[in-house]
Amino acid sequence: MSPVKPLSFLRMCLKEHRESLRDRRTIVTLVLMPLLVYPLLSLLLNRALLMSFADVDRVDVTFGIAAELKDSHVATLLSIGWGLAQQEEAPIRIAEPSVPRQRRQFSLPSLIGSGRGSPQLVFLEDDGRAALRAASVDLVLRRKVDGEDDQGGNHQFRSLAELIEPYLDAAGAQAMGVDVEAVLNVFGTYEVQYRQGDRQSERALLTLQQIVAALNQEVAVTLLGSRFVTPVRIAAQPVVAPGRYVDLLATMVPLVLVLMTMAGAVYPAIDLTAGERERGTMEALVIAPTPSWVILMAKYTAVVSVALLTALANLAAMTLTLWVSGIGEMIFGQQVLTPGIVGTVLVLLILFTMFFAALLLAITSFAKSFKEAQAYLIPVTLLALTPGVMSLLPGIRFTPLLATVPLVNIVLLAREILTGEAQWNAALLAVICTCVYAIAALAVASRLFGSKAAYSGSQGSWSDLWVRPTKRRDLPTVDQMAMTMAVMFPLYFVASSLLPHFAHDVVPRLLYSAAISYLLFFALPAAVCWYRRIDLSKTFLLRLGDPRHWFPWCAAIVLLAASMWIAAHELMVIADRWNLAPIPQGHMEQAAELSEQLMTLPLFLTLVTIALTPAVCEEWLFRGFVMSALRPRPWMAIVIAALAFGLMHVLTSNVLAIERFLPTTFIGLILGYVAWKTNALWTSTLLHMLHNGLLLMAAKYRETLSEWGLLAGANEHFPVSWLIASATGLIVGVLLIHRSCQPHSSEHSERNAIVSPPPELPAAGVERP
Amino acid sequence: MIIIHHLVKEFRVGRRAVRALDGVSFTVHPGEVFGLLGPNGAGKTTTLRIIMGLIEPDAGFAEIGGYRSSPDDPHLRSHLGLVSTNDGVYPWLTPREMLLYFADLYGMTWQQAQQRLDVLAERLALQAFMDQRCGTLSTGQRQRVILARGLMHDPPVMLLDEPTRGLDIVGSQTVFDFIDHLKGRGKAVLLSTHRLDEAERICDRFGLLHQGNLMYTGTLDQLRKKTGKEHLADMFLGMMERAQQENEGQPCHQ
Repeated sequence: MSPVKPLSFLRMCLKEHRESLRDRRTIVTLVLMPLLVYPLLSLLLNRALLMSFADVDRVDVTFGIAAELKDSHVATLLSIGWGLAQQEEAPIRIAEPSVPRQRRQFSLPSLIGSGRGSPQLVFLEDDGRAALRAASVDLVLRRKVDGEDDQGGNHQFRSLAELIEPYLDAAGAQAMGVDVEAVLNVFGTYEVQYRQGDRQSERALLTLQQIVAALNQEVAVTLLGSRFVTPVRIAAQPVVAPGRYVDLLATMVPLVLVLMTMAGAVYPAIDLTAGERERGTMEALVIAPTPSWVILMAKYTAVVSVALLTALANLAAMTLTLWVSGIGEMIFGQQVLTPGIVGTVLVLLILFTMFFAALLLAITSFAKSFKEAQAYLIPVTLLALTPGVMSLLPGIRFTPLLATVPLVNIVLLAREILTGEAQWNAALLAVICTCVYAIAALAVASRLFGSKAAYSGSQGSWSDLWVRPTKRRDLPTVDQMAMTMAVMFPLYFVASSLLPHFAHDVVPRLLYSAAISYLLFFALPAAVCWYRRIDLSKTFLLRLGDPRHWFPWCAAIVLLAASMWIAAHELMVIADRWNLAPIPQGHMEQAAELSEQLMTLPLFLTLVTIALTPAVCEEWLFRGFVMSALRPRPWMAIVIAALAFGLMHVLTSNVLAIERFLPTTFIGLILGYVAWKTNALWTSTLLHMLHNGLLLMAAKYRETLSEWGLLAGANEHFPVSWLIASATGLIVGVLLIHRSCQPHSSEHSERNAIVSPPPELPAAGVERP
Repeated sequence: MIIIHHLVKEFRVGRRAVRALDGVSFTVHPGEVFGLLGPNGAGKTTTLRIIMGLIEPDAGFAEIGGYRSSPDDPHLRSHLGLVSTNDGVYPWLTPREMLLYFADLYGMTWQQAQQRLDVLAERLALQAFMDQRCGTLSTGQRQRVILARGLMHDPPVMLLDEPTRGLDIVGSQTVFDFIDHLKGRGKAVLLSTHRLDEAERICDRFGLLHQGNLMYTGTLDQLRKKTGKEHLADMFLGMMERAQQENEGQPCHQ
């Protein structure tokens, strides 16, 4: 079969886009929903904000003064205190009464109640309890509690009362017939009531405490004169801290975006898959010689585009709503809603869209009708909502473990970005996991799209995915590989994250991680192959090869093992120096610590757990299972297996060792080449084992080697002579392998024979008029 | 040409095994219209699906031009055209867009596709509504678009599964004319239908299928001699009666 031409594929994509975008129902979710949802949402948010956490400067607090205090001068005192609290340098300057007299033109009504942000005073007819409950005041000064201390200290305040006189003059108190004795009576202890747990009421209390503190400060200065120096001062800088509500809203915003994007993707996904079946166009598609995965990819581009358009429309509507209503600033602070942040969120949405579109296609590809697809999607939407709502709960942090959970990881990551708390390692993990899931979902979708159940009207169900085939296969399919990897990847990460919790000593840790390797890298793919009746010896290249080649192969392997670690080290150093993947100091220390611990262990144990086990298990998985699934395109197989191999080494225990990606991918490329060329797994396994063993030996005899000047530090270059020797070794090793192997194994030619077109048939083409 | 050799296919319905085809064999030569006739559920569609390589038979095989069709090898599909009673159109696309899409699916070049489109538009009289959305077309117009879709890649073998169901006399006549045209161009046409009167008019040879068994094959004259009946409908009724008597005589195998 001829491969699909890029231009043809483009036209196929165009057809799917046309079909989706001409449909009115798509336009409804695309345009109308964001137009309606966000203004409504902003109304709700506004209400929530006003009720719970309005800004200090925006809504004034109200003090109620109970009837018992109506005739006291507490109001005057408060107004003086407020004035003092507002003047930064008041405690120092108050000693010169002439200065405040000129500067402060106080009057009772102008002091309290008119300035922006100043407290309002309300004189109440009763004890103020009802007013407090009804929230018409934020706190109530109920009565004066006269203690003995107050009586005893009264004489101290006499001079203070004289000092306060000028203020009272200015405030017009004299005109109301107030004498100094009466003013003296306001000093003492007051009973104050406020609503516990109510932000507004608690802020009123805080304001009152500030006023009282300013007054007390003034008293201290008055009594002690210039000798008094404020012992402790605080220069407070207000920042927006994500409190409970802020957290909630900052999560809700990305969640709403994600849900709206989902809503945008649902309709085209159903229409382009189950819709084909319902319209009766599916059969015509599956009998066309174009592979169904190509058709599906064209549909995928359309679903992603429509979902992205929805996401864009939603993001624009939301940004506009948040900006216009000022809620964005209140939730995220002034600095946050910058184009950069909105752009980052958009990138996240694109990632999420690519994942979710693949997931939707996987589900809807199976359905025979619109109704059936919707029935499948309801539980999925609910499933998607549950972790989404869970991520709304306060106290849920974005941990690397949560970063492996689909949907939750994107919602939480978006929240972290919006509140400026994103951590790159968890973010990277979330991105990698989402990509892996998307690929796996696409693989499943391409398997299901146009599957038997979709057109023959048989009793097809999801169980068809798990039915054990009756026929044997030589190699695993791409979707089988992708599904296995999608299961294995998070499992491996979770297992290795749990490692430090279970085992503290180095020996159990080594054994535990070896067990994980055998279970996930070795047993899992083997079990998949057995269940799917896939030929184990062909998949895992269980052959020895021609004995005549063994000598050149082994020579090449020894050469490669001796030289490739130097090149890998150099790559790591270059990445560090160029800041592509800087090596964190902590990782170097951990590595040094580990190698010291390893030195104390028996050599046999370290060789088995660090050289033999990873070599056997990882080669089995990557060069065996992964590469076999992609074997028709060997170069792609080598590169993809190497990338997966590199990624897997980044995710070690609960730290992300990003600096390991380049060197391990490079080693993966060489291992892949060796396995492909020799068509035997033992060669790459031997090479892998020698390489690991060599590193182990270098760690063990570190000091001796350092004495001889043969060891570079973790982030130091090797001498040029070493690099030349390494490059020569690599080239000679690769050439040896290349020369000793036939260009193609017999298996490759068998596969080619199957797909070659029958020559006798007349070619399909144009009817010549 | 098509060679069908001893096809056997069983489906599972719950725990029961239902034999849809039980050793069906026949041949369709180039330039011949073969009518695969039978009541609903006789196994016509299953036979067509095995020929298209959508289903694997339990036993036997279907050969097109000397090559066996198989679900694992989609290559033969570009040599087959299918028009089925269940086929639909894309309501939001125009016939032109839809036909060009299928040209891409069959790996035709842009020029080939355009030329072919002109030929088919003229022969099936599609020009008037070539750029009108398919959702607005009448049933007959849609059927013509579907016929054009099946012929877009000009396959040497054409499978027609009840192509006239739901069509009026004029619509049916368009289909008949087209089958005649295909025959004239040396294509092997396999027509599956339960409209016996139509089959009598257009088929060269017939295969009478009942409960997965091909009871008779031959030209109309041969069938008349074998059965002693004049019309296909009478032959069918006789055949079903006989099958019923046989079934009553022996217990059903399942």
